[in-house]
Amino acid sequence: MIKKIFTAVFLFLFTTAAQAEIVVIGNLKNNLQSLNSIQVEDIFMGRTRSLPNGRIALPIDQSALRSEFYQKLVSRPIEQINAYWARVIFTGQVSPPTLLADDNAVITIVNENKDAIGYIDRKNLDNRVRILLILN
Amino acid sequence: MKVFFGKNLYFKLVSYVFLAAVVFISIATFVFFRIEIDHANDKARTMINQLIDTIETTAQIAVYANNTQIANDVLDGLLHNDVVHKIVITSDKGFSLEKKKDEQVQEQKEIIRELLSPFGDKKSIGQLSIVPNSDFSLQEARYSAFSNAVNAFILTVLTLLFMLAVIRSLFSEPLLRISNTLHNISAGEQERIEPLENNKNDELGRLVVSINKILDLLNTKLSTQQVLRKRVEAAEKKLRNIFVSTSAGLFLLDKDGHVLTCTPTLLKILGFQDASLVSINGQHFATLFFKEPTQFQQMMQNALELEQLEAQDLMLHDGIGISPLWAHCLLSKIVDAAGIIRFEGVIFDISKRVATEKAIRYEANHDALTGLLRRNAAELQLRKHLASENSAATIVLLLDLDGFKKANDTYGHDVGDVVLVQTARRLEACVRHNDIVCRLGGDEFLIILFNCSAVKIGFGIAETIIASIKTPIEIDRRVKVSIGVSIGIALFPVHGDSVESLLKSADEAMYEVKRNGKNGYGMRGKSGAISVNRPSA
Repeated sequence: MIKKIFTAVFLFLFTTAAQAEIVVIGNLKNNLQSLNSIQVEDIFMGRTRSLPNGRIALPIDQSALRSEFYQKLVSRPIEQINAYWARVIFTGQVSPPTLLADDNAVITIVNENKDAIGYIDRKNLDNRVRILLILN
Repeated sequence: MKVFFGKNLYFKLVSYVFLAAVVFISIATFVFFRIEIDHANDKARTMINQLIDTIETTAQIAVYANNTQIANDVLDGLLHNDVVHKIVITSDKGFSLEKKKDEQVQEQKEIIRELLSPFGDKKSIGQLSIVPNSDFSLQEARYSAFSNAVNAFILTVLTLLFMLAVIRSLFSEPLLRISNTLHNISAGEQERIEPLENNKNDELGRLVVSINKILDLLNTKLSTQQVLRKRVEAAEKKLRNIFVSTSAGLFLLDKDGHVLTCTPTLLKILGFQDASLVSINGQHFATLFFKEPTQFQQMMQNALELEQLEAQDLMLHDGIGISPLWAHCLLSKIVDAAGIIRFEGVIFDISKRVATEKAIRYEANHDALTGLLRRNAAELQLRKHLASENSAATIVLLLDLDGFKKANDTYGHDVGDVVLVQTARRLEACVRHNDIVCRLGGDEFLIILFNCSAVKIGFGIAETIIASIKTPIEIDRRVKVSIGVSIGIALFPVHGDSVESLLKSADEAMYEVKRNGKNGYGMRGKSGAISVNRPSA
């Protein structure tokens, strides 16, 4: 019995530690070199639409990492984020980030779009995009 | 209402309680209103805080997302609440929205809630401020106070109505019954109040018992008093009889001497024939009856000052009868409990006594046979006269009848007495009005002549006497008595300055006349020798 509990705790710690390291990525052609977490939050939560350099940002969500990303960014479960967007969308003033399927789709869009900002698992990172922020 | 208010105790009581209750309720309502306003203000703040709790997340999101649409929705929603007057949402990121109701109200203190970021680090991103509606608190308080007052009023009125009924049946009606019964009972009757069935052992029951006791006591006292009154009446009647029939003339005067009351006997003494028809009350006693009112007034004065019983014989006014009326009067001051001064007195009829006394005195001074003054009285008068200022020119005649002894021996004492009486009358006729004729005893007489400016007057009178006595005295038809008289004369102060010396000188002169043939008068001359003059010889 005690063994079982230990095993469970060990597995839990292992899986947490095994979570992916998420990086926020941007287009190489954009002169934006990096963002802090507040700037990233403002952009993804729809508080601002412009980047620090004045360009209109295009935030990209992805289904695979979405829950983990927001947990790391604003320390809130994904249900609250959804609820937030549900209220904000209702006013018709702002739209949530475009939702894509996985890291590849995000990398592709960011590569193609100068103002796009997305996030991916660091292990899938390649040189087509620039790292703006690393989330732990 | 007013009629009841005055008439019935229970209405009075309940009315007073009602008035008091209205006053208390008013005060309580006012105080309650003040408290309630505070309470309502607190309540309003609590409600507003709860409202803010409800919309806080939405407001946070609106501010977080800079979303005025959501913010407006929040403001509109809040403004629907009565308790809210004005709302302001301020975002740190730039926008500020304000909404308020149209009505003008007193500005209340606003309630401010910091809006925290819904995501991330919970830092403040804006403010929500709400101003409560003061009208709401006021209305709440008003309503609360009013409903309280109405509650209290209704409860009071219901309680009072109940009290009214209870007091009426427990107190007023039994009391009324007692009072009505008492009203119909007159003092001294045997009637009693019936005991109250429902109040046997309480205050009212005891009251009835007590009243009955008093009625019993009253009865006893009344009958006792009736007996006593009869006794007093009998005693008074007796006393009145004594007062009316007493032989003492009692009277009571006020301080100034006016009659207050008197016995009928007094009036009789004072000469009223029918005492019952006269009332002298209020009249002045002294002037009414006494010949010399000042005497009585002096008595009153003495009684007042010396505080002793004054007694005096007084002559009465009404001297119509032959003999004067005299009264013996006793008078003393009395002071009653109230300090009023009066005089009480007794009057006895002493007219008879005075008459008797007068007779006795007359007898003592006068000769019983002739009615002339006795020797003592005459000597007394002479002595008094000699001591007085107009004593000069007084002449004393000493007379001794000649032949009286013989007449007495011859015809007896009765004839002698007639002779003496006749002689006395003749002597009185010979002298002047003021002169004194006195019988010294036996057949000796003394005559005192006052104010004889000349000796001749004395001689003249002596001669008149001798002539008068010489006239025979007719006893009856057969018997005539002839006598003479020898007179010795003495002058004051020539022959003596005292009664004794004058009489001695006269006596010596008289004997000298006897020795010289009688029926004459003699007087010691300047030489010392006695000269005798016999006018008839």
